[in-house]
Amino acid sequence: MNKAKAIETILHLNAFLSHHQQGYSTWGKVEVLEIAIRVDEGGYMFASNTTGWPSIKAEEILHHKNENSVYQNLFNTRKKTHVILKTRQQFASQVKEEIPPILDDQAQLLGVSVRLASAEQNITKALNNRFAANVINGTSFCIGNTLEDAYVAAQLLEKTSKVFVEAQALGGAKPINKIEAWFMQQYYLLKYSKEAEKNV
Amino acid sequence: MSISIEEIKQKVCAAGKQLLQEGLVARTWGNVSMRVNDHQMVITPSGRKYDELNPEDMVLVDIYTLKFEGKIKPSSELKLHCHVYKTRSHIQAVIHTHQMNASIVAAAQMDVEVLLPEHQQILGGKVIKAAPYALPNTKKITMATEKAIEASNAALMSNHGVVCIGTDVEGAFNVARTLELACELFIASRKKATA
Repeated sequence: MNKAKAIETILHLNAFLSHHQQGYSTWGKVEVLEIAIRVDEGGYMFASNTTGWPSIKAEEILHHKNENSVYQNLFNTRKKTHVILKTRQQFASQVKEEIPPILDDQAQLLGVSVRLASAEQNITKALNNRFAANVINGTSFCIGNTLEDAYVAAQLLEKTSKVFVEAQALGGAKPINKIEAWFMQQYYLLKYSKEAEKNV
Repeated sequence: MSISIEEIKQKVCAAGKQLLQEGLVARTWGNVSMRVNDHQMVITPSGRKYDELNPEDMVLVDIYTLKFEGKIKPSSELKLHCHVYKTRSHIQAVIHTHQMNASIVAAAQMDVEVLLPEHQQILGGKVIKAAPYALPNTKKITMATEKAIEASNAALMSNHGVVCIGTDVEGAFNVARTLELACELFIASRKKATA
């Protein structure tokens, strides 16, 4: 994606979020705090939700290049990641431990567990082979090839976290086998996720 | 008056979009089918986004041979749908969801005690059972889920989701919505008991 397209995507973020939140009111609230989009010109476009996404202006979207940041480190490590969302989520922010694989869709899309990073600087390691991770300070990082991929990861992180928290009243969620979880993630990445394009 | 395959495809396509709109699934997960006759059903395709689907993308499947018409592959969960139709001649629609409250109970691998009589009536029992965990799309999960439905209209699939059945597609959606409410009450009652 080039700079102009990334700016346009961020300017339309509020409409995107409104559209994708329809029907998911029971899943828990997902607030996007910051967004970073990798750009062809090098580095990434960055914006934070300081005055609210509906009122964001183009001049508030910054081009970060050649810097040592959490976002740049993640982009350097994850070559297929083009969008990073930093979020604060109703249930994910309550989780203060690693979430084992407790749902098939979690295992497929997020990875074999949701790790808890001790600081935002450690998020790249926490996201190894994963698409969402929580930070001890109550934020989360969700990544994807596209904005939609990253946001679905955030929604699924919230669902997984809500299931993990609420299942405590039922004696706790029972994890599935980590090898089976890994197998499902591979199946999703290598086969199922490509069906949208292939199965037409 | 019988309904044409084209009309059934339109209904299944609309029901797929409804799954997404009601927050019963995310992305491409879940699936919907409707019976055509005693040996065929129409089901949503595998891995496609619901909001991009058209009626002609729905897949006609033989419930006994699992052979399908056309080049678009049916949902990978088709075995479960076929098995329900083969064993329950009165069932006309099957939906598979990953809905929130039922997922909480399914992750705890528990049966749902249905507390309200009006919910019991719609769900077809006082308890909705959870099938033991098995990998998706396997014979093991198909048989376990079908067994867990028993004489009711739904079953939980441990760590995975829910299957709901009905004499029409709206009936199956009503079962899914009622199961959400029943699971919410069940969880609340357990919270109260442990408080």
